[in-house]
Amino acid sequence: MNRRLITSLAAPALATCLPAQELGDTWGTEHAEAAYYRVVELPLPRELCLEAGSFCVLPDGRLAVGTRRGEILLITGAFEEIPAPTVQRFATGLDEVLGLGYRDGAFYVTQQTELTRITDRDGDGRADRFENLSDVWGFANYHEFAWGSPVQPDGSVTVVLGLSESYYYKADYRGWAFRITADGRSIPIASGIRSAGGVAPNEHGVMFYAESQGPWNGSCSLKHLRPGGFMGHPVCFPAYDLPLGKELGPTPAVPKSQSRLVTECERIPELVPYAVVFPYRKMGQSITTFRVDDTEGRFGPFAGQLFLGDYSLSCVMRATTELVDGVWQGACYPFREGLGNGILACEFSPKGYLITGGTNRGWPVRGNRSYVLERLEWTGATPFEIERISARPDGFLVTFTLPVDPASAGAPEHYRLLSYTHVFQQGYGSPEVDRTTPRVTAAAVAADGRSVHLVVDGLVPGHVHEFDFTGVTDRGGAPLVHTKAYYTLNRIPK
Amino acid sequence: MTAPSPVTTLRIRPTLPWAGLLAYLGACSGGTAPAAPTAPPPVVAGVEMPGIGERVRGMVLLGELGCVACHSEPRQPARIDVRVGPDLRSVASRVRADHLLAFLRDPRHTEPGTAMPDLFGERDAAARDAAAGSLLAYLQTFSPAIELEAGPVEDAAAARGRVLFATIGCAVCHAPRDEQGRELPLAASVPLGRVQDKYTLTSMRTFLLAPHAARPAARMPDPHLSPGEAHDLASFLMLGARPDLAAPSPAAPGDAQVGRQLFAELGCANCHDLPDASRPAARRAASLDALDVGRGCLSTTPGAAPRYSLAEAQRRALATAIGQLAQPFDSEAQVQQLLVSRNCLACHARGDVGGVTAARDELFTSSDPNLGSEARLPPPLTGVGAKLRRDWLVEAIAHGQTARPYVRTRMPGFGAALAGRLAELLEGLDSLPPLQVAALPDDDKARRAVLDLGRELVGDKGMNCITCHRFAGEQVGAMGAIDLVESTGQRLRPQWFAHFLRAPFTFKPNTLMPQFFPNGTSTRPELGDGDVARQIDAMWHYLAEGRNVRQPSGMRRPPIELTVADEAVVLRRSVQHTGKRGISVGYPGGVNVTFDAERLGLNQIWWGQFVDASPVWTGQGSGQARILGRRRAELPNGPAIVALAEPDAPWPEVSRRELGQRWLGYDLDPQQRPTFRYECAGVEVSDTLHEQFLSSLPGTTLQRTLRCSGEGDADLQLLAARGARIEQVEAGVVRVGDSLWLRLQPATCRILERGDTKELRVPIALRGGRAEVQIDYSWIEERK
Repeated sequence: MNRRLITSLAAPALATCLPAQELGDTWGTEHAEAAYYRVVELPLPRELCLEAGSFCVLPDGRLAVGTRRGEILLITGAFEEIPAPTVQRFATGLDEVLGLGYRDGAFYVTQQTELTRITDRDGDGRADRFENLSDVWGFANYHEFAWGSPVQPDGSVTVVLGLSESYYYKADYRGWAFRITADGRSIPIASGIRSAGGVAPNEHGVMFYAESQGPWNGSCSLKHLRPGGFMGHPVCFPAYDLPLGKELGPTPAVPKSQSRLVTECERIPELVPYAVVFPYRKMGQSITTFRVDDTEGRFGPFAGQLFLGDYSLSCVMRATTELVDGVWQGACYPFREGLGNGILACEFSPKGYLITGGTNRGWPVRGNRSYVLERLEWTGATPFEIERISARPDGFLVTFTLPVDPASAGAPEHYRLLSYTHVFQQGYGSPEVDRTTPRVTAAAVAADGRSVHLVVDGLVPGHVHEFDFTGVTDRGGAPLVHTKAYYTLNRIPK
Repeated sequence: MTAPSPVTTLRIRPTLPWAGLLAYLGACSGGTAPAAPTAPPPVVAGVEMPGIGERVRGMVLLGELGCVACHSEPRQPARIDVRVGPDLRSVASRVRADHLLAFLRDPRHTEPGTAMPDLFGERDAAARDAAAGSLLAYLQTFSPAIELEAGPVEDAAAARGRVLFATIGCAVCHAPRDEQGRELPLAASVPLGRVQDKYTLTSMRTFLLAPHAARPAARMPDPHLSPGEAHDLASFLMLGARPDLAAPSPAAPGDAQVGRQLFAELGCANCHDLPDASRPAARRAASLDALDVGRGCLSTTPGAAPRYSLAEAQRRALATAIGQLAQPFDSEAQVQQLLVSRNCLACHARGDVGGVTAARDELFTSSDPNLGSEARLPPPLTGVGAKLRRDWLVEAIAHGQTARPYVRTRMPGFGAALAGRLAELLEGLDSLPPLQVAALPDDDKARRAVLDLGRELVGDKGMNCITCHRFAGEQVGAMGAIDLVESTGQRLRPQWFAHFLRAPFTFKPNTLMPQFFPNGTSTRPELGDGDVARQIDAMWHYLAEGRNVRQPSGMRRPPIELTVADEAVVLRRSVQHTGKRGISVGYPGGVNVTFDAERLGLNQIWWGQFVDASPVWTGQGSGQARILGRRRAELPNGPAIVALAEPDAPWPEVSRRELGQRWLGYDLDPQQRPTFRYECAGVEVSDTLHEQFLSSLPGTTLQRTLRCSGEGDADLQLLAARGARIEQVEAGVVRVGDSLWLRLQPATCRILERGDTKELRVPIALRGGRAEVQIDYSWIEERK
């Protein structure tokens, strides 16, 4: 082929031919992130066809994996410095395991149709007793996913039930959450769920779940499963008339479509506002399981925070929450992209690894590698990042992982803010609406350089406050690894 | 992971090293001195590649040997890509102290081929030792001395590492090594010398995991090793390490302040960056165009100048390049210079230059030999700027992005700096004759028609591209050639696609890709009016849809048959006929059942193969497990066991939930056979199914035992069968439909007629809180 053939293709012509970017842009930070957090694939035989749906770490240090193919696999060696996993099949034949807990020798397994306690009574390493703890919910369609929390200190498991086909109520208790006690009592906790992607306690031990964008959800969000609460999607209201549904109290008022969540919350006392909004495509498209980094710094400078995966964009994000005026709210932050498949589950190991896994079939996903189990490792180098954002009566306190350059961080013009919310509606998703541009009027850098108090003119309760920290550098002049963060300001602290 | 140790920054009084530096920089082009001790020349592996002109070779050497670190290039922007030295902040923690001392004292004899010149000029042995010791002491102020490790490497790891070294591409640039890790000399190789005495296992592993951190010039590209692979490769490279590992003291025998002064005087900072705030900045020597090429570094008698021990050919090439600095150096030459400096041409050809040599051919292998040499050899770079989209090309060069997972040799990462520059040059150089892909129509219907045509052509009724190519991660046939969806829209330029489909051989003489448009006509004239442009454009637009593309015809999901060997197999997923809460069990010997955990009863029984799980294990899992066997018999719907007020009362039509019946779960025996447990009318039922090989009956029988326990006496009934044909042929032996014999123990049963259908009811009489009923199921065809 003669490469010196003449002519060239005009750029505009090229652009018209390019495919629509279904999955949006990346953050473009993958390689910068890699200097601090390494993605290591666990070497597993492909024949295992492992599609992780849930994890838990056993007291003996083994990693237990619940899979989409309905297995519970026990992996030894997943947390060795050089991973050398060997896999033992503990149980098979289950129905899509999206929740796995372990307590006193028993696994608590959330499958699509029930919460099952699974034990190995003869000690041969294979499960031999499968006890139904709760199967109070119905089913009408394959697309009715049930997610289960880890076992809680009181022995209970919280199960959240997605709607039929993620839109309809075609079977009992779809769109509800139950707390199921160790002796098998099913206690309704909340209604109004659309299509959950994970359920677990937040970093303060309060039960939250991950909700997906769609009807009555302008964007994905973490929501507080407030007992007695209504999470926003009214299609599940028939269950208030069922025997267990009556325990939750009277049916809430139906929210008005085309409204705002903050407006409807004033009208409907049961309605619980989202705690942390993950703006669509900027911060994932299908957020899933979240876990608290309880490794006391072995995973780097974010100890005690929430980490969660995203199915569509194959990334891991961070979140922090705080209780203000009785309402949960908080922020989310980009963390690590470029994972191998769509993340359904993540779990910390005591050594400070974050195991991630999932699947790549059925729905579009950026990481298109099947049967991959990966672990994120902190390289030991501290990234220059927003550690957290907290609300203050007059603005926000922004904490950094490394001391900032006082000149760049003390300049109010280096903080750009945008506020917006979503239409609360029956229709699918929402654009970002009611945009405002709050202004940072003062930026006071703490003596240790680790935090900056921002005084903001124009805070909007109920809005996501999107931060751009592009101008802020560390003392060596280096920019932040991620310059964006998103705070959902339900309430301004008094 | 451990945090890096804090680095002590040296705080010493600034001194005045300029005199020494200037004296020696001047000497590069001026002084005369006694002959330098003979040392092997530096090695720049790609530079000897046939077909590379002397001037390009010289330009490469000017960058690779660091000439332009001291002597500025007289032209702006500079065309020579200077190679910076390794990172010295961490070198004391990375490299053994004894090796560093030897290297500083005599670089070329310690690491054959290194670009590092001998900077100690005419110093005698004692003075060299002292200078090296002081420099090392200075370097050790930036990072703690390396910790030595004792103990041999693990044989199995080294064996795996040897395979990696040979297959992933290490041996393309470095000389192959034998089982003991000894270098097998091969031309055009970057020598590794005795790396086993340079690193420890840990520090080598760390280096291999992130080579750019230690060597920011990225001449050693990042091979993207997993920690395990890095460990294995390091283990292989550590074979034959000196046994007295713990012997040499890691502490440097010199004075850090003296070392700091030497560092400045010798111009080390020109190539190596150190975060010493008070150190003098790098200084420039005479501009390249002002040099006398017969003197200084380039002469055979460099005197106090750095001693490069250049080979004669290198000297000539450098002289040629310096002599022609004023002449234009075109883009293709600049591309060649970059490709040579990174040894890209050892894998890739561009035009008539480069490509895999005969000597190294056997190092290139494929995981899929069906795909021919294209799947084994890295692709040529000829015309690549007109083929790949800029952002894909940048990712490929910078981070080793690849569309060819079957090529075992890895495309390593060369960093963003090279990628941006090379991609820009290639894009400017490479072009194709005009041939546009028509834009997708705006009109929805017309747009859909184009995409449908593309889909038809790609599928098995069209060109059947999917028989050889992977499609969105799935492979239909035996061949898994480049993924049509993943490798098209995001990666290729449409114009290249249009040319390539018309004449694949023109681009790839050895390709297995057939010519689908011979002599400018389509091999599928019945589709899209046989219009070549229309067909190719449609395929482009269809494939460029990306991952959400509708599957073409012929992409049937391969079945996932669950086979039953010597123990039972349980599948708890939606299954044909029973539905969502079916628990299907395949038993050894070819009997299978589905127990319905909603209805609490045996719902179907069949003979032969178990199930195909692909409908529930692929895609979103929206289907139902497909029953594969034959002679299936369906057992009645509705609650299976009830207590009735009157023995002949109609069977209740309500759900078991309304009757208060509870599903308890199941236990597995050591052969994984379940015993289902449930509760009906206050009675707990344990329902065990067991395959039986009975001497009286050929084939396999399923024996079912229902054990009931409760309080006192109770009378329950089991609805064992319902259908048009139910006949008791002898006491306790009932024929059900065309398929099944049921043998009951106790033999008591009643057959009730309900219009056209009959019901087989089996009484369960609890006496003293217990009852047991056994039913054997066998197939009529198996009974003579």
